[in-house]
Amino acid sequence: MRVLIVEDEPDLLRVLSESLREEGYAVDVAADGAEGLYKATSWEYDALVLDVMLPKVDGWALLAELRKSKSTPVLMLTARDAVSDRVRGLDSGADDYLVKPFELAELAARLRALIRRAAGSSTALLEIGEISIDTAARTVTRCGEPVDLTAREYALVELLALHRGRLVTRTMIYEHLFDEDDDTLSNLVEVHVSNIRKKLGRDFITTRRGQGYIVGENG
Amino acid sequence: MFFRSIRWRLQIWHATILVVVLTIFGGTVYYLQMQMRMQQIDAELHRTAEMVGTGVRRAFRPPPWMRFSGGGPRPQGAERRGRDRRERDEASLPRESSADDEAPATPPSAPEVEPQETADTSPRNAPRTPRERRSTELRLPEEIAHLFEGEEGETPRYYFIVWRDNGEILHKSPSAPDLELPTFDSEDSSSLVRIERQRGEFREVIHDSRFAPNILVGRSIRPDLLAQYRFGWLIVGLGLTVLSAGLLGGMLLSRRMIAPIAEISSTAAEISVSNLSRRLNVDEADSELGSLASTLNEMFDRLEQAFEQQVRFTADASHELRTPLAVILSHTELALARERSAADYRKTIETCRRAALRVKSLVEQLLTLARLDTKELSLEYREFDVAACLYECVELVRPLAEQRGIRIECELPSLLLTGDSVRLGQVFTNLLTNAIAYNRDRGRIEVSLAGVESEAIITVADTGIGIPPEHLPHVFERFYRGDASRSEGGSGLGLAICKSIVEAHCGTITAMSDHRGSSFQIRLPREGVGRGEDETSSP
Repeated sequence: MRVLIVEDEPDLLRVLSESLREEGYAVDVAADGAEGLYKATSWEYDALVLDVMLPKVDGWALLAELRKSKSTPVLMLTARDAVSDRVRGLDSGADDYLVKPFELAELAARLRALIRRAAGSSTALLEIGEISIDTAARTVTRCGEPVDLTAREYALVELLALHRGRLVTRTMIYEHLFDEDDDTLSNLVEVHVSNIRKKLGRDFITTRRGQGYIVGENG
Repeated sequence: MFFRSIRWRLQIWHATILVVVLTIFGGTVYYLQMQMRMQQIDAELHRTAEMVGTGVRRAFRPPPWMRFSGGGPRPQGAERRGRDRRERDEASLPRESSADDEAPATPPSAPEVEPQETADTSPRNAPRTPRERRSTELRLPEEIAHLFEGEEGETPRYYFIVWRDNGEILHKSPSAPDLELPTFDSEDSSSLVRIERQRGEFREVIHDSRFAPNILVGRSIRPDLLAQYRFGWLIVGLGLTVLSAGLLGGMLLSRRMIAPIAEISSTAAEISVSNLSRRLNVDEADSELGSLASTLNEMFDRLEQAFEQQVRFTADASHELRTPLAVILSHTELALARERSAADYRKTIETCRRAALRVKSLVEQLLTLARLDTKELSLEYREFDVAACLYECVELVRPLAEQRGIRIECELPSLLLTGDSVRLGQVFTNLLTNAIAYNRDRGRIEVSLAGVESEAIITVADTGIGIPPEHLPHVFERFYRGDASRSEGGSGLGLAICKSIVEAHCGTITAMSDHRGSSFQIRLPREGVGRGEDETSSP
């Protein structure tokens, strides 16, 4: 999952990106509204963490501009907790609203929920055949037995599971799993897929040659 | 409480004035009517007395046989009275004044009356006969004789008494009461003295003549008094009607006049924090109430503005405080999530310290502002050299400037000023720090000082990026930051504090800017006017 954080306070930006990377997200950062808007409209993000008070282009303007072209889930971060501010935030297209100061755990949970809802699933538990994925605990079990996956492997499984029954292209995988700083070698995805097949069974991921991958094709 | 309302006070005043006016008016009318009635009665009595006097003079014979016998032949009395009354009614009005005025002055006028009367009554010879016979005693003119006779079984309303000055009663009508007759000392007056007097329910006139017997004619004025009382009650009734109509009208009027006030007050009562943007209706813009409403509206405008400013300030302040708090919270949370390296912990602690320092400076700045606002911050006024103070500040920030190769130019003349040197030093330092922060590398800062009349003018100019014109009017607003990123530091309170401090010294601070740089100018009165003097003058 790839998220963009737009925050002008450098210390906060750093801690947010670090913690979300530890959660397994690919994280891009922007320090002002203009940069944030450019990145948000240029790439496919699974979610946006957006501060309201930003130099150059403020959070509201960024959101309004973004909504013209994209429906990326947006979590607004703000120090303003008046009801009118929250109402304004939600009304202008934000999907969720978090008031500073916040707990990182809550931010992560809300972000997961946002991404899940955007993918059309409302529970934290995804089950595909004998495989079940707990997106909250970030664990995968096969027939009740826990399977040990690396963060990147887990992210790929989650991405495929969230798009179950639908084709996930290699481009999508690159866009959602790797941030702007990652060195995206072309065979990296194949390596991950082959490792996942070893751990979860060969049939879990179906390859559409030349197009991409798909899971849960047969329900 | 209820009766203290303007409406009720108006009503009570109105009622009082109405009652007073009506009482005066009614009383006057009643009194005038009474006077008129009495004058009429007196005139009538005088006339009667004159006629009696004529009769007396005509029948004047030595006493004692000269006595009036009032009891005429009864059978004919009623018929004659009716006729007489009619005659009197016809005759009295036109003749009233002439009889009144001429009779006493010119006694010969009596015969004049006589023939007329006899001519009048001549067609009725038969009833005359007994009277003709009696006239040798005291023959009263027909038109008044009946007055003293009265209805059957009733006492006549009129009575008369004729007496001499020595008290000897010459004549007396049957119904005449026993009075203590007044004796008059009329030696000095040769003419007739006419006296009117009231005796209970009786009105009497007395003709006191020196050479003839005195005559008293009286009558009961009971019916007249009753009529007068009726008239009085009529006035009271009318007065009450007018009063109630006036009160009712006044009540309606006052309600109409008060209604807009009540509306204003109820609307004003409804205006609260949640709907400060509501305004009073100013339809009656021309009236006094309209101007009251618009005055109130202007007050609400100012209140709303102040309130919005306050809300914005609070929101900004909380925002500025929450951001470093969020940094501390999230960094510690991340660090504690799992085992970290010593370097990571160190980094986290450094970040937290930075954030905590920012909270501290922000709280201090907010406190300073709050104290300046509430005038709690006491400025320590003393005379100091502005140039020396500026040099100190420049030395303070010089290392910062040298990092970016910025040159600070200041050649300052010595100038004494009375003020709080510490606070003003803060202002200068703040302006210099800004001039460095928003300057270009290897730029230049120009500090100048001039004394113009009673003012000291301090200017700090930089060669930086300048302030966009749309931001220039707002730079002194609290938490106004323009496009400056938070990463560039500063809370957005610095210039606001500068402005408050300068204004506490009764000075002004202005900003000018173009693409070549910005310059801030402070004008301070040199004779520390302002709060310092307030303090010395206050007890």
